[in-house]
Amino acid sequence: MVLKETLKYFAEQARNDFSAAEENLHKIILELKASENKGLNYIETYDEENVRAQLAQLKSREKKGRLFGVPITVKDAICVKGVESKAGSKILAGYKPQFDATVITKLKEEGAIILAKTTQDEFGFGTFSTNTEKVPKNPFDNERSCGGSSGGPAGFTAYTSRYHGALGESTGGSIACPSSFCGVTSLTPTYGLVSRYGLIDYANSMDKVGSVGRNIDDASLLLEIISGKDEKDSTNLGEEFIADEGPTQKVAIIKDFFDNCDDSVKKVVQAKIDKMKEFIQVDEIELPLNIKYSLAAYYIIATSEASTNLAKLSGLRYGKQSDPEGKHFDEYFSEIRSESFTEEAKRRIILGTFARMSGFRDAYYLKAMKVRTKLINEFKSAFSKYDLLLTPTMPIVAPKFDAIEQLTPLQNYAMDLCTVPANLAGLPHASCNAGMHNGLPVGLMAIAPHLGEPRLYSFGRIMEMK
Amino acid sequence: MVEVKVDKALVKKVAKNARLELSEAELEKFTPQLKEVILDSFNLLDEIDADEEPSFQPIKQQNKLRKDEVKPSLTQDEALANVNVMLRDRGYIKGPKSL
Amino acid sequence: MMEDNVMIGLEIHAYLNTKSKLFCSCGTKVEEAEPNSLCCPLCLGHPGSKPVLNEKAVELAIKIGYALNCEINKDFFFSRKTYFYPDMSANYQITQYEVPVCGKGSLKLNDGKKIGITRAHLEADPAALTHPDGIGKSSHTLIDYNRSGMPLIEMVTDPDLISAKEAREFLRTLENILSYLDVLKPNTTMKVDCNISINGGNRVEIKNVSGFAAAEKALNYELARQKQDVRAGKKIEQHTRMFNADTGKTIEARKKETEEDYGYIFDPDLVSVSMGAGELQRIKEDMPELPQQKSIRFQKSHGINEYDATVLCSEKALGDLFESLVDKYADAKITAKLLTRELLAILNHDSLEFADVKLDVNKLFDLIVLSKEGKVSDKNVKQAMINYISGDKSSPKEYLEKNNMLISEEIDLNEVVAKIFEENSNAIDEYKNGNEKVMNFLAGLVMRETKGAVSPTKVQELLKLKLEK
Repeated sequence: MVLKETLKYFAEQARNDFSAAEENLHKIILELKASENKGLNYIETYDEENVRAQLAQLKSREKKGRLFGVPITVKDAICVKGVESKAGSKILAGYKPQFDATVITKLKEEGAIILAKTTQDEFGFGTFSTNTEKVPKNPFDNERSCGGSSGGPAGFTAYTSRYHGALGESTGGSIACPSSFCGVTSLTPTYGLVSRYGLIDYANSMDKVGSVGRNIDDASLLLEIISGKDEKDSTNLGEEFIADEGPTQKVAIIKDFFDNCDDSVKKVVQAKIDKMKEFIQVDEIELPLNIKYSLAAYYIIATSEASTNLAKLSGLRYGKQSDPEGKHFDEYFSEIRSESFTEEAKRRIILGTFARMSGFRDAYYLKAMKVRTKLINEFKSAFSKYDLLLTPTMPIVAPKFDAIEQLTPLQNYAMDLCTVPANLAGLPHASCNAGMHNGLPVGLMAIAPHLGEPRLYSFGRIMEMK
Repeated sequence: MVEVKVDKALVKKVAKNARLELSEAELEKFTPQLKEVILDSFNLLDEIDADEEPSFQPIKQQNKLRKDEVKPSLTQDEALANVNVMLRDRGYIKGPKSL
Repeated sequence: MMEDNVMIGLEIHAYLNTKSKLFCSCGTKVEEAEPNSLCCPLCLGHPGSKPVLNEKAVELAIKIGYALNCEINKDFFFSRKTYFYPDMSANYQITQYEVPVCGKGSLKLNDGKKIGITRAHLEADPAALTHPDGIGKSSHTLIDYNRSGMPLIEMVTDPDLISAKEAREFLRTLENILSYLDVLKPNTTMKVDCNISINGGNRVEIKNVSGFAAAEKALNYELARQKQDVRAGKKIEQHTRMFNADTGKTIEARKKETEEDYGYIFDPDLVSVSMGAGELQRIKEDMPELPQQKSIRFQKSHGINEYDATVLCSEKALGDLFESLVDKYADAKITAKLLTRELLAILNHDSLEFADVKLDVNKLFDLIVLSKEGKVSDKNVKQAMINYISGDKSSPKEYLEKNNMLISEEIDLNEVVAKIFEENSNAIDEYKNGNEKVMNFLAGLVMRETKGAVSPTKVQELLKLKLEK
């Protein structure tokens, strides 16, 4: 069944007739359970009692809200009060936050139903959602990856046939990548537009909560609601997003990114762009510094920050704990950490600890922090000439799981070449489906300047035109 | 150019700093992987000069301060809610020793 | 014998007087709270929590910087210092590394020597650890996160101090200045890390000493210990020691195989601070009078000498007491003398601190008035004070009245002098023979006879008259 309408339409239905909300929720729950029975692994935590209680509360509530009755699934790293929030990691098993993330508060205020926590790479470490116990499977081909790290959010969005929206999180491209592999639409906002209060950190200077939906209207509605001022997050910009028209006349494809993609991807993306040339001018541009240095700068900064964030996970106060009796703290901490982190988490902790260690700190961490400024300036220069920059979201279509196993960590990281630059620079970007290759989705990504989200909305509308 | 020898000794030392005890198998597996990342990716930054200001975040902001006002804390029960029952002791949290 | 070249530097940590913690809005009255009841997700290191800087803590730190003549770094930021310990809620501390809020400064000791201040910065306190069976014997630790996130100022001196005594004096002077600013949390002690090296040798650090007396003891012990080692031919290695307040000894702390590498990064959850010139000016103007300024004012307005003024200002409460007395129009010079000589002499003698005694302004005022009116001798003033502080603690005026120690108008001095002369008839002859000491001898007798209840000046006058006759 194909939904013809938007979430905005559905919410209005639900406000006028509560049974519409009930029916949609009832049906999506059945689908959720079916996906679990099939072992598709989109769902990390689902508490039926809690969900039914939310529905009941909505029924008697006076202020209905713009997302009234809309079920939202939430990436596991986003804290929901009283609901197990593990960010896909064993070490946080049992952690039930004492507070809602600001984005959750905002959703609840607008009448949304928090349906479930979805699966992800542990702490966001990954491009294929394979660095975790529950690995989500691509709805188009269950032997292939959903992408990562927000594999669960994108996978479930593609899977469900009901009205639904999802929240993902991106540090290096973790919302755009799975959107591309799963053929759905996503908006990753300007860094600081959406509050990070209540987001379990990967790299604090790059983490962003964003939206995943079936179309640009849905993704935009979600982003409108979760964006805005929050004094609890010192890095929050205090800005709002309103889905409105923005300039999209002059656009350029980033040639260096495009050239590094598989032919299959290039073909689909080029075809789509050619169709759009009717409405927009499409040039080519090169970003020589970004293509060469962005990945290195990103991974140095991200792992440096992550290694400090993960230091707090040591078996005390919450999550996985054991008996400290008779143990020295070095022993206690090392034991729990060593047995609970995935290999990828360990590698990134080691890389990040190395990059900021004395003797290496200047050459790696500090250098990368300076290079980032340089790379942002390269983008700014490009935006003085163009409204938007385009690139395929991913260099490949969704790969098979056994192919992923063959990759070295560095080869994994190299898959992020199209998404990392915008993410490192904190630039907002949208990923929309450009077409299919052998039954697998290919995503096209548009990058806007800081706070240029309206342009992305306009671009998405153009993408969706028949 | 930073001369760095990425060998098992370095990996072990860094891991220890991060309170990670790697098995011999992990050490064997990780060392070449980390070496590849550091030498083939991280070291690329040696190629360029950068005397720009380091970017704390992608968009520079300053002066986010809050008024010196008290707001309610968590109750003791709430603070301990995530602590294993066996690690609670008369309101304290039981932890490993330091000496 | 060659003098040892001693270099001592201090790192002092003190709690700032704010209502809420440094990076969250939890209250700071930790002394009143049940364990783990003054915490929020940030204090507990809960994933998803985020820090927000307290503007008051910044203001207090800058005031401290001004008081210590520091360059204020108007642009500063915070860093994460990562290390693992049971009292760390996030296993990193938010502190300042590359750019502290206060840069180089100095503090002058009473003898005029300038001690260099390297820097002063803001940082968050870790949690409190209790070892149920004593440190070293417990099989586990008990953690209370109420203290986690409390705002600290860390002040670091250059290694300019040359003795334990000087170190203690420095700490006293520092505490005095800070008490004038009212920037520190009341009823808390400063913690001091002492760094000491002799004759250019390796630096030894004594960590976490609580209070000044302890710091002096620790340094004295350590200096003696090091000298002993050197004489025995041992080399002093760079290492860390702990001070045991009960035994008065320093003990070597557990040596770690690898030194902790803090791996500083800019805290990515916070943004930098840039203080405007206007803002800094406002803070400067809001500073209360500091000891040096107060001393100068005392000299100018009340006509007391520099020495007395300095002493009065060396302890805020003492200076305040002086001011409350002169505000009631007590004679400034007499008051100054009473406080700086009599009072301090008694405190020294009884090994008391000024803070230990409860003095009533009115009772002191009465005594000063009596003295001004010439109704009590200096000697009896002293007696009355001793009694007030260490005796039955009755008011000086009461004590003097009760014991007939006031200069009585009723006593016929002529009569008393006549009597004394009668009893010491050869006195006049001895005086005429050139023994001038006779005068004092006779005066003493008169004072004893009248129990000091006469004006000494009048006695001298009368005796002179009679002796010269």
